[in-house]
This record gives sequence, C-alpha cells and structure tokens, in this order.
Amino acid sequence: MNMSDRDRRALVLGGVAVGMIAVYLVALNPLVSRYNDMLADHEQAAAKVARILGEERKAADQARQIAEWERKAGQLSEPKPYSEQITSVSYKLVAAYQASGMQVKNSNWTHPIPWPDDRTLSLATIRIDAEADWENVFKFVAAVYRIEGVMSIDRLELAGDSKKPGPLTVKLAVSVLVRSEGDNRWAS
Amino acid sequence: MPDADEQRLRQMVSHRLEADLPLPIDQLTWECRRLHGAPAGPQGRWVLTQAAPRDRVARDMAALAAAGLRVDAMTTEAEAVGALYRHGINHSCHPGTEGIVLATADEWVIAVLTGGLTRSVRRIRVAADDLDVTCRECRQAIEAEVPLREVHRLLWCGSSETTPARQKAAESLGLTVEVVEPHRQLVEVGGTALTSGQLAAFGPALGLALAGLLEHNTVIRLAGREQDRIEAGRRRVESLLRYPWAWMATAIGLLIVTLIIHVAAIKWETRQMQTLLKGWDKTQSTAARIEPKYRALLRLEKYRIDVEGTIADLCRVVPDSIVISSIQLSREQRLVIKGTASDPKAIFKLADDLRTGERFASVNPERSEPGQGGSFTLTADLADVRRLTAGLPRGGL
Repeated sequence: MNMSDRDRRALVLGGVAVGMIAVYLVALNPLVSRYNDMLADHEQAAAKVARILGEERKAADQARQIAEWERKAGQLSEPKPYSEQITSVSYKLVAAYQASGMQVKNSNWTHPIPWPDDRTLSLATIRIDAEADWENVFKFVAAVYRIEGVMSIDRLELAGDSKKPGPLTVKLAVSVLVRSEGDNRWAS
Repeated sequence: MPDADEQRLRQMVSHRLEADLPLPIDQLTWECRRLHGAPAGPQGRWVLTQAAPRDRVARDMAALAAAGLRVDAMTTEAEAVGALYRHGINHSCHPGTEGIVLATADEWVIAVLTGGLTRSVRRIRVAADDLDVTCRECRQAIEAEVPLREVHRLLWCGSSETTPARQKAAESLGLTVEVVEPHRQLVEVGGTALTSGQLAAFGPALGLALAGLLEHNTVIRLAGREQDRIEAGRRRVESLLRYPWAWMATAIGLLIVTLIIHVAAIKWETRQMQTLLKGWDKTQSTAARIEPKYRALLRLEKYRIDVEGTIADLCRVVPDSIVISSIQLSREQRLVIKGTASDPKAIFKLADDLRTGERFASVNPERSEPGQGGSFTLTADLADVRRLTAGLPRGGL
C-alpha cells in the first residue's frame, strides 16, 4: 500500500499524540498524583503538629496563671470524693478557727447538691455559727480561701449591738466541691 | 617609526616626545598606536601619538567621577573626528589630504586629515556679518597644518542655512567643497535619519560614540578603566554565551536536582512529623497535666465571692454618722445592711456612693422607724457574683 506524504505526516502526528497521551497516563499522571498525595500528607501532619504546638503554648500560659493563683490563694486541686474532701476541709477549718481566734458555737455540713456545670460534682456546704471580733472574722475569711477544696463563702452574716460592746455574731456558709461518685452515698 | 615590539616602540615614542614637546614627559599623559591602514614608509611604520597635560586629564577625570560617571576611555577630539570621518558620513575615501568642516550658525569645527588620519582639529567662531573674516580664519586653520594647495577637497557638513557660508568658503579658499550627508545608519531613537544640521552640531560627540563602538580596541586612551578589565569582562560574557546548549543542560540539571531536593525535603519533614505524632502521648502533655487545676481555677474565678473586697469597698464609703448593726452577704440574697443613722441624709449618700462603684448594683435604701433613731435597711445586688442555677440549700443559717 502506497502512503502519501500527507498520510505519513498524519500518521506521525497521530503517533506522537498517542505517545504523549500514553506518557501522560503512564508516567506523568501517577507522578503528579503521588506528589499531590505527598503534599496532602505533609500538610495534614503539619496541621497536627501546629495544633499540638498551639496547645502547648496555651498550656504554658495556663500554667503561669495557675502558679500565680496558687501563690496568692493556695493550692488548686480536683475535687475529691465526699468523705475525703469533707474530712480534709473540716480539719483545715478547725485550724483556721484556732488561728483566727473565732469562737465557733456550731458547725454542720448540709446535704450536697449537684453542681450545675458538671454533673460529676456536688456542692457540700458547711454552716458555721461563731463569735469573733471584726478583725478575726477577716483573718478567718482569708484562711478559708487558702484551704484546698473550698469553693467560696456563699453566705456571711455579721451582727452586733452598738450599745453592748462585744464580739460580733458571725454566721457563715462555706461551700466545698466534692466528687459525686464512688463511695459518696450522700451525693445525689 | 621603525618596526619594533610594543615595549620598544613605546620607549622610542617617549624619547621622541621628550625631544619634540615643550613639556617634560612626566607632566604628560600620552598614548600611541600603530596605523595599520597607513602605508609602511621606507623607514618603518606610521605611529599615531597623542598627548595631553597630565593635570588636565586628571582634573577632567575627577570632574566626571564627581558627576557619577565611570569613564571607560578618555580620548581626544581628533579621534572623534577621525571616527566620524570613517563611519559617520557618506563620502568616497581619498588617500590624500582633506578638510572637514562641521558648520553651524555659530561655530565651525575644521579638521585636516591625511589618509583618514586626523592631523588637526580647530574651532572658529562665525562672524555672522562678515563671512570673509571667518573664511580667512578657516584658511589659517588649514594652513597651520598643511599648505592649502595640498588639500584635495573640503568636506562640508551643515544645514541648508550654512549654504551661503559654504559658497563663500569655496570661493575664498579656492577648494572643491563637497557637501556630505550623515551615514544612513545614523538615526534618531524613533528611526528618523539624522539631518546634516544635527550632524554638524553633534559631530564630535557622535564621532566619539562611533569610536567607542567600532574602534574601541584601537582608539587612543589617555585615561579610563583598564582596557584589560573591560576586555576580560567582555571575554567572560562571550565565553559564557558560547555554549548555550551546555548552559541549558546545566539549567535543566539544576532544575531536576532542585526538584529532587524539594521532594526529599518534604518527605523527610513529613516522616519527622509523623514520628513526632506517633510518640505524642496526649495524656502526658502539659495541657493534660494541668487541666484539672485549670478547671478548678476557672471555677473559682467564676463562682468565688470576693468577701474581703466587698466588705472593704463597703466600709470605705460608710460615713461616721451611720452605725451598722448587721451585714448579710450571700450569693442569692444579695447584700443587706441594717443600722441606724443620726443624719437621715447619710443613708442616701451611702446609697449614692455604693452606686458609683462597679461592685454594687440596684442599691435600694429604706428608712424605717423614723421616730426611734433613724433605722434603715439598705439592699444591693453584688455585680460580680454569679448565681448557681441549681441553687444552694434554702433556709436560714
């Protein structure tokens, strides 16, 4: 079969085109895909590492805040189980009474109630009736706020009689966070 | 000069200059070159030598340097006119002596050349009202170099305005005056051919440029950058451009190496990060370790009542006329102050003072038993105390 120049040219061009498509499909396309996969892996790993580094930086800042708080207001800790927490706080409260010179008449723990922000925690409150001078009351308040586990003084009532000098009547409610799990049968 | 090597030739030229010139040679800057186009004489070759006072050359170079110009070559106006003669004007070359006049309305530049070699360049002012004077000066300028009868022709370059002067010069000097045009390759930036007037006005400058472009290897150099350095730079560029395929192959090779390094770096970095992530134990991280304490801190910041601060802020504004009998402070039942006041206005002043601070809100004073000593009850909300939604146990203490 005789081929004209035009046919030969068309054949060459077609062959080149088919060759280029084959090169693209066999070599170029897989290569580009692998390169893109490699970039995606790199990007993913870089994002994870960046997130971890960001968390570490944030943690460092939080650690600084914690250290500052503990320097001013005592140790921070996770709430302990009811019995352990109540025992620990009660001992420390007694020490605080003695240190501040409060004359405690009565103190009793109330039934714990659920903590609104976290259902695994409960809030137990100790009510204290006492007598003390003005200055001693605030010595006691300062001491209470350095006791590990104390959440807040939720109620403070000071009463006195100007006609009859003497110590103030003090009523306090100190709340303590406890973990409402395990052997805490009092927690609701 | 007799044929000799370069060093010996310079020695001979320096002796000749010492003998012929009125200045000592150490006060001169000079340069010479062989005239290869000129025919060899019976005693050797023609050598062109040009010299200028050293201090003048130094002064001019300093002035150019001060203007921020780096001079490649400082040469003479004679070289510029010679280059203009050879490359800048259309004319038939003649081996004999010729004159060139670059004529403008104000000035004529008159050069005498022999066999293309510039022998003298002189400038004369044009006396507009008396061309005879100008023509006489022109004659003197030519005859100062060669007798007029040896001048074969006078090449005239000038605008049409100088036609009367040309005719007068031809008549006065008795020479054949040929009008010459700028070479067709001399064009302006836009491609327009230069006119004769432009060539006459800027002839020496154009000649200098032509010498720099076309005769940079042979032009007389009185000062300027070392020719060797310029040539070395030129040779370096030329040698670089001599192997374009080699450079292209090198560039492709570098590109491939760059790609390999790029891919290897990304793979290595990814592997490093993945190793780091595999070994990362979230439970052992700083964030995990401090999380319980941080939660406790947030709870305390949110819910702890600042009892001391509240009482201190209150005491700061209580006036002396008020006697407080009780203070109640609680998360839910707010602040309640009871007492007596000898001055009834003091209660409202206390209320106003409490309102001005940021700690107390909704301050409400109530007077009671006005007939029994001015008792009062003052209630206020604590602005920075957050209530518990579930609430604390109700009931009195």
